Amino acid sequence: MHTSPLNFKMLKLSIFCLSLACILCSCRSPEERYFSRSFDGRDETLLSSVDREPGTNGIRLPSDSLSQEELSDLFVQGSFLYYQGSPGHQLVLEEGLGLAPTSALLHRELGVAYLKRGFADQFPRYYGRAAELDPVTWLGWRAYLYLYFYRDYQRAIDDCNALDPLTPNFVDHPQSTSIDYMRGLAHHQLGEYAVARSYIDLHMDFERSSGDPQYIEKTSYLLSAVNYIALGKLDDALIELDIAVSWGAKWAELHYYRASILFELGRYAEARESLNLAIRGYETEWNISRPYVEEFFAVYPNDFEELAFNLDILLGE
Amino acid sequence: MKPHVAFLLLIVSISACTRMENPNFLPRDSDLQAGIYNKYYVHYQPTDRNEWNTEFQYIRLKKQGNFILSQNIKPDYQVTTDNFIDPSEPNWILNKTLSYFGNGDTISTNYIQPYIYNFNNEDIPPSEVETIYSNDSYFYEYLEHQNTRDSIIVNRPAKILTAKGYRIFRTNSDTTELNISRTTIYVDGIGLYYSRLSTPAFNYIWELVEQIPERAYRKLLSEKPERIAYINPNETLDRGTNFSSCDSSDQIVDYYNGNPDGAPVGRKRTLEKLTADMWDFAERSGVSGYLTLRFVLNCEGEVGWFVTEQADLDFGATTFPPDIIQRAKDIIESVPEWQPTKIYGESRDSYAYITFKLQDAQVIDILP
Repeated sequence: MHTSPLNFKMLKLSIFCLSLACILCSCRSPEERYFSRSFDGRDETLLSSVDREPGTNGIRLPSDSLSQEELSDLFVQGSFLYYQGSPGHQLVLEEGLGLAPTSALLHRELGVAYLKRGFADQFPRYYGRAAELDPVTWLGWRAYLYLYFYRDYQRAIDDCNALDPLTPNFVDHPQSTSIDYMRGLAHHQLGEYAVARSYIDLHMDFERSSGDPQYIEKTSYLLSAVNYIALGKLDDALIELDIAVSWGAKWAELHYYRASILFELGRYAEARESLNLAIRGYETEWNISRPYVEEFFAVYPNDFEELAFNLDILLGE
Repeated sequence: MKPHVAFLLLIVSISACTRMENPNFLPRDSDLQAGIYNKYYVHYQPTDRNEWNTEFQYIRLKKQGNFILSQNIKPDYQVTTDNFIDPSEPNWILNKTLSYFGNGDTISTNYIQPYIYNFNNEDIPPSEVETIYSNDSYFYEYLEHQNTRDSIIVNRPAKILTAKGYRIFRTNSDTTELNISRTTIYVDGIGLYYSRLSTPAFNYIWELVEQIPERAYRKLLSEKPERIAYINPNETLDRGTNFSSCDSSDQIVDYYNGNPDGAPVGRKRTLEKLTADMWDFAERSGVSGYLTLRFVLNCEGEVGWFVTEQADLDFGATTFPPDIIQRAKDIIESVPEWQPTKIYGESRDSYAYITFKLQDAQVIDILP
C-alpha cells in the first residue's frame, strides 16, 4: 500500500492535534473542574480581593473567622434543626466530624440516638471515644451511662474514680448526678454495702452542708435508706425516710420503702398508712422516674399488692 | 487546509470551550443540562452567640426549558424550594417559587414584583414578594437594589450585589417587621458563592464549599443513612406475620417521644415476672452480653417487626444462640398489655426495645 507525502503530512497533523487536544483536556481534572473548598487554612485569602473592595466592610467567610473546633461545635447546634438520629441530624454531625475528627462533642452527639434506642455495640465508638478525647467532660457522663443504661457497675465506678483526680477539690455532677452518689449506688448494686455507705455518707454530708435539707434530691434519701436496709440498720433507714417525707413529699417510693421498714419493725398500722400514701402517690403519678431508663428502686402496683396482702393478714383485715 | 491554520483553529475552539468573553454566573452548560449541586455551609447567627448554628444545604441547578430550576435541598436530601430563574436577560429574573413542607403542603410565593439579579447595576424596580402559609401566617419582603460591583474571587470574575429592604411576618397573634440588607456574590462559572442576609436580630450566611456533579450527588443519595432505629419490615424475625403499623413507617416515633412512654403495663416488674416464669436455660459459659430486641409497638398496643442488636459485656459485637433469642422474643410477646406512647393524646406507633443482660445464659438484668 502506497502512502502519498500529502497524506502522510495530514496524518502527522492529525496525530499532533489529537495529542494537543488530549494534553489540553487533561489540564483540568474533575477535581479542578468543580470548585472545592479546602479547610486546611490555605483558602483563607479566598475573599481577600473582596476585602480590598472599597465599601464592602471586609466580607469574610464565617469559616475563615472561626476555628475548626468552633465550627464543629456549631455543627452540633445545627444538627438540632433535625430530629435526633434522623438522616439530617446524622449528616450534619458527620459534616462537622469531617472538619474536626477529634471533637469529643461531635462523637458524643452522634452517639445519643444509638444510646437511647438500644445499640449497645455502638457505645464505645461514640461515648467511649468522647471520653478518650475529653475525659474531664465525658468520663463522668460515661460513668452515668454505664450505671443507668447498662447497669455496668464496675465500669461506672472505674470511670468515677478516674475522673475524680482530674478535678481536685470539686464534686463532679455529670448529668446532674454526683459522682459520690453514683459510686455509692454502683457499690450498693454490687452488694458492697459498706463501701457504698462510705460514698453515700460522703454524698449526704456534702448535700447537707450545701443548704436546706429539704432540697436534697429525693433519690439521695431513698438510696441512703435502701442501703441502711441492706446493712440491717432499719432505724437509720427510717430516719432518712422520715426526713424525706416530713415536708409532705408524695413520692410513692419514699412511702413504700417506709411502709416496708415499718412492716419489718412490726408497726403494721403505720405501715398500712404509709403504704396507702405510696399507692396514692403512684396513682397520682408521684413516682420516681428517669428519662429513657428505669429508675433504681422504682416501685409498681405488684409491689404494693404483695405488701398489702401481708399487712391484711397481720392486721386481720 | 494549511497545518498552521488548522492548529490555530483548534486552539481558538478549545479556548472558546474554557473561557468566556462575558462572565456567566452559572455552572457550565453541560453541567446545567445534567444538573449540578452547589453545597453551602449555612450559618444562622442571631445576636446571642450561644444560639449560633451551622448546617449545610445544597442548591441544585438544572436547565429546564428556558429556565434554570434552582432547588434548595436540605442535608437529608429533601427538596424544600423550587426557584424558576429566567437567565435569558442580562439580569436574570426570578418570578416563581414553590416551597415544599414536611406535611405535604406546597406553597407558591406571589411575586408582586419579580426579583432581578442586577448584575449590570441598572435602574430596576424593587422586588416585592408575599407568601400566605397554610396556617394563615403571612410573609412579605421588599428589597431594593443598592449597587453592583465587579470583583475577582477564586481567580474568576465575580459580581457583588447589595440590596436593602424589609420583611413583615404576621401570624394570628403577632406581627414582626425587620429591616434587612443582603449581600450576594456570584462567581463566573460557579453561581452563588456567598450570601449574607443581615437583620438587627440575626445574620443568615451561605458560603459555598463544594460543587458536586449529578452522578456524584446520586452516589451520596444512595448512601443516605436510615434514621437510627429504623426497622425494615421485610428483614425482621417475624416477617410474614400479620403485624402492621397503624401509620406509614415514616410516622413511627420513638418510645420516649410521648407521654406516657411506650412500655409494657407494669413495666420492669412485668418483664421480670415473665422472665422468672419462662427463662429456664441452664448456665452456658460465654453466653453473655446485651441481647436487645428492637421492635415496633403499634398504636393498638401490639408488638412486631422484631430485630436484634447483640453486644458482649465489653460492648463488642457478638452473636447469641437462636434459642436464646427466640426465648427473649417469646417473653416480650407474652407481655399481656402494652401502653402505646401518646402524642397530644393520640396513640402512636413507636420503635421500642428491651435488652436482656445475660451472664452465662442467665438474665441478670432487663433494660432500659
